Formats: sequence, structure tokens, C-alpha cells
Amino acid sequence: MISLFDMLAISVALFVLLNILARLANNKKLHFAITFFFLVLILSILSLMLYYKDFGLHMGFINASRFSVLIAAILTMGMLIIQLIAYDEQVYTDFSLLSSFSYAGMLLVVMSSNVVTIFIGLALLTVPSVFILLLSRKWIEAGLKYFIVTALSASLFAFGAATLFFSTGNLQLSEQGYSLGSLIAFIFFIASISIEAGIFPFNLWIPDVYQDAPSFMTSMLGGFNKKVGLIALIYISILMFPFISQNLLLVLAVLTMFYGNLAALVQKNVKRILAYSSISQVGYILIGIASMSKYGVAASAFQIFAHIFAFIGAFAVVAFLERKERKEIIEYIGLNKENKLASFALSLMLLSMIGMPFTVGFVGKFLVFSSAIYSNFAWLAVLGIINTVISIYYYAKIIIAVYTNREGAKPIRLGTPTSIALLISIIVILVFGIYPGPLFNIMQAAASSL
Amino acid sequence: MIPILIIMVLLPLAGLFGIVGSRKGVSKIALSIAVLELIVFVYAAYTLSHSGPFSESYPFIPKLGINFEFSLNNLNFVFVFLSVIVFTAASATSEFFTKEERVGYYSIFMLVESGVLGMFLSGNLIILYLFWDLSIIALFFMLFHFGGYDRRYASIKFIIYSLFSSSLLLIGIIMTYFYLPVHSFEISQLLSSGYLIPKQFQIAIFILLMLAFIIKMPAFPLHSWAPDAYSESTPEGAMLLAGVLSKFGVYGMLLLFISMPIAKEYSFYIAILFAFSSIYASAIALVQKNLKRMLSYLSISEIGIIGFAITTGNVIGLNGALFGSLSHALIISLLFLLTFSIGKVFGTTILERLSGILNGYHVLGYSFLLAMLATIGLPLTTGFITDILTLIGGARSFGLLILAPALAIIVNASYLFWTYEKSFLTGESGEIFEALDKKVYIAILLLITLIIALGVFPSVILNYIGVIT
Repeated sequence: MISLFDMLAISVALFVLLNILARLANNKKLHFAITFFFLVLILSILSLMLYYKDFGLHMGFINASRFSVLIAAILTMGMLIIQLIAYDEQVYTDFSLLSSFSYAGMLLVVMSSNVVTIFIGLALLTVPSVFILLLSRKWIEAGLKYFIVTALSASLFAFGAATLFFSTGNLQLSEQGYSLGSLIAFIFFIASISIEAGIFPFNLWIPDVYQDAPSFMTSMLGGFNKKVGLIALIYISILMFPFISQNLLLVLAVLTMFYGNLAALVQKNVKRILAYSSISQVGYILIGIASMSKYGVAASAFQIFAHIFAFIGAFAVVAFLERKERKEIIEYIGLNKENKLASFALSLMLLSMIGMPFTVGFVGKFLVFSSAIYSNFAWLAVLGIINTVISIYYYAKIIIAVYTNREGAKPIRLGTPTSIALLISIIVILVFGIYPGPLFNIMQAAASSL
Repeated sequence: MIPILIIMVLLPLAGLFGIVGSRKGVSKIALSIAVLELIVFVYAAYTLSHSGPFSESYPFIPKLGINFEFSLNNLNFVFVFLSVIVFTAASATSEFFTKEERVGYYSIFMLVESGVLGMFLSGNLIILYLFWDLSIIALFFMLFHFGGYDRRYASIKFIIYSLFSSSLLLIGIIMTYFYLPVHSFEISQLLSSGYLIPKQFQIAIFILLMLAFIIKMPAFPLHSWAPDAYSESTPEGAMLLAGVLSKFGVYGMLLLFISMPIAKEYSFYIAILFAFSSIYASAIALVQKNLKRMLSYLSISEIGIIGFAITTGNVIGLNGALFGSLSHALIISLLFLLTFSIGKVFGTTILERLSGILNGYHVLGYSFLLAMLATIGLPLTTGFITDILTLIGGARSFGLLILAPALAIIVNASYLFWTYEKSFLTGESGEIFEALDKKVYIAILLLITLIIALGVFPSVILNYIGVIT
């Protein structure tokens, strides 16, 4: 008797395998068909799993809890949109193959039951990303930078795991005893994940890499690699080290928010602004994690969900304009006259990142801030709202540029895949913004399964 | 039971889809939506008068106690009424744009309408915040995209002030939720057990929310966005901003003063602030060179008087504030409509270049005279009832402090008469660029009728509004 989990594992394996075989044919459409089919299949399996029960431990290193399945489903949905965005790129066949590896890595991290699985998953996620960046001469600088930081991150993580193993002998994601060894391991883990997720002192590489990488890849780095790092952070801080992580995370949340927002104020390049804004969003997510409650975890998961779609949706437009060599804010002027859908989608995504009512961004931020207040950190919520006010400035700068008229602007067409990607993002952002109740219920149930 | 209230909130959205879908006759769609709203509202008012306050609830995030809860009661009745009227008048005004632009313009207009009605009808603080922000952001786009010559500056100033105010509001709301003994976002809970919030938190919440409302109303220290936004906006935008959106602050302040006892302790200082605000604004209005800017300061001055009426805290004063909101909405939106029409007909609103309007265009001249007199408080108009209630209420609570709003009224009267004498009565009228659309007459007639009718029979409204003290 095959369980749903077995079906999931088999389809992920088949997904990767068929992508490898399809690479021999070097056919864009074939790759897209395979990817699309398997992602939809996996998504339906995941939703069935979410519906039925908690699947628990498998094969000793995988834990398919409700929370993992939910996050995996969200990532799968995002992955579908990314495939649509990247479809117009020249390197789509390679991207499709390599991103299938990354996707398997993501699922591994999200569903991990011990530290080693997280390590393997992170490696499987980041190494193909590096290879994608090395596909073209234009991106090689970003690729090398990303390679160096991920290698550093991986080695720190391995060192942490080793220290933990020697001091306690327990690598499971369960509460660790308080000892010097576990403390050192915790610090290594946090440092490693900080690099991956862009948490304050270790995020200096983010703007450079995000700006130099092609937009479809930036949306992948910011939408997935970073979010998966945060999921790993949730596991490590809440499941393994709840006794020491709270104060550290509070400080990191505040610093990350302020760093991202203040640095974004003076930027002129849209991708750089979005890179810094994604750093500040990590800060908001950290608030939820730092409140160390089931409610806070649900809030963080919601904010992760909100930011994935807003970020990818915004980058669908950015990628489209990048193919026309338009990167700076001033080159966005007049977009409204050229394409209504693109301008509306871009401003909706940015408004969602600000936290405008009736978008998921508002619900996410509201949940995160109220989780801070529930855990008696009202000051943290106030700082978060101050940051939101600061962030309006740079988001509004882009929106205003988009809606300013330019002489001689002619209508331009979006490709079909990009249009579909934009429509999906718009629908997700509005539907879950207007009626977030059921999704939040699922998130809360999922968070209490941790 | 028909869910009237959610229909009122969703009707404009249906209109939005209609506008985007059909792309033709958009102003007719907007007008018909507004008239439909009026009909639904009359039905709702009928229900209110027969079976008392009623509410409806739809889930948003039920687990946190946040639901789309809409209610119509004696407190928000007057605000819903005024917004329905002003929206009808605004959507009946003429067409200023090319066909392509009109689709976008009226789509935004519909969003604002939905946001405003949702804000006034909501029975839940978070939902109130949501709709508050929705209407602000929609209005920002209206200003930014369709406004006057200096629209960029005005709209950015507007959005910065407004979003600052709304984030203060959000912090205040979350704090209120947290320190209410029964954790709840419901406005009815706030009204019934707001006094149980510990005193030091009441002070914090009071300061936060008062700041937010002072920005939104606007009143003295934080009003500088308003003249720019009002005068650089479109005619509809100015009518909505001055007539309806300024009432957000009034409504919020009413809720705050009714629910929190701390407000009564500090009401004297707030009263002085508002009295000063009204005098200050009327003094600034004296020296304005543009009719639009003059009216903007007039609006700020009048809002100051309404705020003063709220601080009195007694039944007469609060009723004065409620009735005053209605009166102010009707009169100021009529004044702005007339001013923008003057701008359209004669090509300018700069006072030096305007002369002999009464002879040149009778309708504008006489309507302006009536609106002006109503502002000053001519008996048998709504302005008179407002002034009487406010001054009596003020005299009961603060005694001689009522001299301040009285002075503001006198200053307003003086510069309005002066302006009327110089620009409307004397001199030759300028060249008429284009005649007004027929629909503008309907809007003017609607507003004038209500100003006089409710001035003659104020009890029609005063019976509906009851303030719990």
C-alpha cells in the first residue's frame, strides 16, 4: 500500500529525473510541460496530505508534519510562478533542470527532522542556484559572490552540527540541553542561517548579488532560498534552542528591519531597493519568530507566504523590464501608459509589501505585530510600525514613477507566461487579503503541530 | 432579512467592475451607483427608525475576533448619510477628462466610495482601519493622477501625513484591543467597557489616537497638507476630501470622547486647541489670494468648531458636532463644487482676476451666496442649527471660551462678504469659456435643497442621532 507520502517522494524523484532526461532533448516546451505537470501533481498531493492527517516521521530523517506540508505547498505554488517568469529567458532549459534540484532541496529542508537533513537540503538548494548564476558571463560576479557566501554558510552549519554532535550526541530537532557545546553550536547555526536568510550582520552580500543576478534568479533567491533559511531558523530556534534564542532574535529583528529600510531609502536601482526591502521583510518575519509562541510562528508563516508572492509578482515585472534594459527608477517612468497590467500588478505587490489593507501584506504584518504584543513586546510592534512608515517612502517612489506620464510612451506587450504569472500573484494577494480566515486557521493548526 | 449594509459597501465595487468592463458611459454608471446607494440608505434609515440599530457580520479572521462587522446606529447614521449625499453630488458633477482617463478616474472614485462607506459602517476597529486606509490610498491615486498643476507635491504631502496618521491609529487600535479587559476589536465593546482600560494606557491611547485624528480632520498644528490637497485636487476629490474624509477624524474623535473617561479630564485643553485652530485658520484665510485655498482654510476653521463641539462632552454639544458634520459636509462640498465650476467657466479661481460673477453667471452667483450665508449661520439653514447647538453646548461646559469659535465665525463672515463684494458683485464679468453641464445643476440643487430643508426641519436628523453619555 503506497501512502500519500510515498507518492510525494516518488513524484519529486520523477520530477528531477525526467528533467534530467528532458535536458538531452533540449526543448523548452518539454521542460515546461514536465515541470508544470509535476508541480501541480505535487501541489495536489500536498493539499491532500494537509487535509488528511499528520504524517510524522519517515525514513528516520524526514518529518512530514502539517507545518512542513503547508510550507512545502506554499513553496510549490511560488515555484509554479517562477517557472512562468523564467520561461521567456534564454537559459530556461538549464534553469528548469537546476531549479528542480533546488526544489527538491527546499522540500528536504522544510520536511527535515534533524540537523543533517537541513544541511543536505540547504546544499541541494544553494549549489544549483550557484550553477544557474554561472550560466551566463553577465552574471558571473553575482554567481561567485553567492558561491562564496553559501560555502561559508554551509561550512559554518557543518561546524555547528559537528559541535552539537560531540557535545550532546543528539542531532534531532528536539530540545537540546543547556551546555557550552550546544551554545557554541547554536551560535554557529544562527550565523550560518543569517547568511542564508539575510539577517543583520551577515547580509551585506544581498544587495550586490540580487542586483547583478538576472531577475528570475533574484526572485528565486529572495523568494525561496531566503525563506527556506527562515524556516530552518524556525526549526532550530523554536524546536532546539527555545531557552536562549529569544533575546538574540529580538535584537536581530530590530537591527535587520532598520538596516533594510534605512539603506533602501537612498537607492535608485529598483532591484537594489527590492533587495533591501526583502531584508527588512526578514526583520518583520523575525518578529514573529522571536515572540516564540505558536501564534507567532503562524504569523511568521503568513508573512512568509505574503512576501513570497509579493516579491515574485514584483519581480515578474522587473524581469520583463530588465529584458528591455530598464533597471533604474527613472526608467520606470511611464510604465502605466505602456502596460496597464504590469503597472497595476507592480504597484499592488509593492502596496502589499507596505501592508495596504485588503492585501495579504496587511494581514501578515498585522499578525506579526499583534503576535509581538501578545508576547508582551509592545515596543517591538511599535518599532515595526515605525519601520513600515519609513518603508512607504521608497515603495511610493517606485509607484509614483510608474504612474508618472512620459512623452512618447508606446504600448508594449507582456508575454503570455508573464501575464499569467502576474494574474496568479494578483489573485493570491487579493483573495487571501480579503478573506484570510481559513488560511490563518490552517496556519495556526499547522504551527501547533510543530 | 436583506443584508443592506454589506450591499452598501459592495455596490461601488460592483460599479467598479461595471466601469472596467463596459468602458463606456462610465459617469452614468457612477451616478446610478450613487443613486442606488441613496435608495438603499433610505431603506436602511427606515429600518433604523423602526427596529433600532442593527448589524451584520461576515468572517475575516474569526479566530482573532476580526470580522467584517457592519452596523448602523444612532452614532454613525449621520456620517453615512452625509457620505451618501456627497457621493451622489460628486458623481453628478461634470466630466473633466478624456474618455480614456475617465475609466481610471471613476474606478478610483468607486474605490473611495466603498472605502468611505465601509469605514463609517464598520463595527470592528480593524475593519475600520482597513477601510480608512483603502479610501486614503485610493484618494492619493486620484490626486496624483488627475489633480491640478501642482498635484505631485500636494498628493505626496497628503499621503505622507495620512499614512502617518493611520499608522498611529493602528498602534492605538492594537493597544486598545490589548488593554480592554475583554480582548476585543468591536466598537460596541469599546463603547461599553472602554472605561475599564487602566489609566496610564488610556493616556497613551488617547494621545496616539488624538494625533491621528487631528492630522486627518485636520486641525491646527498638523493641518498643512490640507490646503494643498484641497486646492490641487479634482472637483470631486476636493468635495470628498473636505466633505467626507475630514469626517473620519470627527467620527473617530467622537468614539474616543464617548468611550474613554480620560478624554473628559483633558477636554479643556483639547477645546482650547480646536478653538485656536479655528481662529488661526480663519485668520490665514483672510490673506489668501486663491478662492480654492481660501475655502480650504474655511473648511479647517469649521472643522475646528466641530472639534470644539465634541470636546464639550454634553448632549447638546455632541449633537451639535454630529449635526455640524452633516452641515459642514453639505456646505463645503457645495462651495468647492461652485468654486471648481467657476474655475471651469471663467478659467481661473484667483480672486484678483474674478469679477462680476453674479451678472456673468447667475446660478453660480446666487448658489455661492446661499452657501456662504449657510456657512456663516443664516437662520433656516443647517449652519444656523450647528452654530446654535455648538455655542450652547460650549457655554455649558466652558463658559466664556465660546467667544473663540464665535470670533472665528465672525472672521469667516467678514472675509467671505468681502470676497463676495469684490468678485461677485462689482465689475464686469470675465469671458465665459464654456457653459456648465446640466448634471452640475442637479448636484447644486440637491445640496441646496438639503441645506435649506434640514435647516428648516432639523428634527428630521436630530431625532435619529442620539449620543450616549
